[in-house]
Amino acid sequence: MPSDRLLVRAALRLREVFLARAVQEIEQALLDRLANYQRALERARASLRQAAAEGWPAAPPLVRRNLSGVLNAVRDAVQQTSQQLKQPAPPLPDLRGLLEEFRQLDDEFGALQVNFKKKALSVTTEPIELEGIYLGPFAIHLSWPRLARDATIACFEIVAQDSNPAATNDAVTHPHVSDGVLCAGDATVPIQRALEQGRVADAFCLVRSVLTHYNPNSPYVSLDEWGGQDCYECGRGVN
Amino acid sequence: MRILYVNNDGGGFADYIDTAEGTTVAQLFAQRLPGRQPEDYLIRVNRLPATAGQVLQEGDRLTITPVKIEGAQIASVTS
Repeated sequence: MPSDRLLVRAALRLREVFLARAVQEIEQALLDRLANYQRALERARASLRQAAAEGWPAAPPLVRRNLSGVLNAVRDAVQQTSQQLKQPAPPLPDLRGLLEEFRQLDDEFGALQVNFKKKALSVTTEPIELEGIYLGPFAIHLSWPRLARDATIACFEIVAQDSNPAATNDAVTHPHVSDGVLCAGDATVPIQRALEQGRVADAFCLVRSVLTHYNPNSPYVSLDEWGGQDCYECGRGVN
Repeated sequence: MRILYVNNDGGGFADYIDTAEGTTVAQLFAQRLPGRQPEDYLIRVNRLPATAGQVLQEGDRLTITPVKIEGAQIASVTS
């Protein structure tokens, strides 16, 4: 396991990510509410231009109404955002909580790694074999810059450590992994919830739960065809 | 008593719940996931492996995570 000093540094970085996400959510909510202001402003501008073109001596009713619409849209957006700020904010993971997440990760997977250059937390699974096909261990990397933008499976990169890719497509190193991206299926929502709430260890465990199970209904390449298909004439394997 | 209950099955659930004093891990599992088998889940109390008979304490964190989850190819998820 990395030293306590490195873990604390990593926890501080990750806490900054969660803080940035919290600010971003409120900022985006304000921008979304201001969309009505944009529309009201366009209507007001259009009516002003029309009135000016007609040589109006005083603001006609349509112009006054549209300007009032602009005022109402801004007032509503600010009021709703103020109300949102009064609500108790969802708790952000604290330093101690994040350190506990890291220790749990190390316990669950055997060796947590922190890479400050790549800005990633990484663990490696045990070798995985599905329906008799050896796929090897997989490194699971969580990128914290990606987490800042989007708390979803997209934060994770899955890298085969002893690759045995599908014969027909070497980007597919696991039935549910292509180009390092896991298609999380039923784990998509719980992974997102776990990342949003700072339950980093849970998110990694959920990724592992997908890697250790085969869904024959929807793989990138089915395990039946992993080694390629057999030649109809001679029975030898072909890509 | 109140414990933090995290269920990573389905849509995911994480919140404080009230449970009777003396409730064991197995009992709470049976209440919350009736008909499911504990061996299909990773069960942790305060981030450590737990035994079925372990009695939950006030403030404990109980996490339940399926050990096998169906992944999918992206095209079929969006279709």
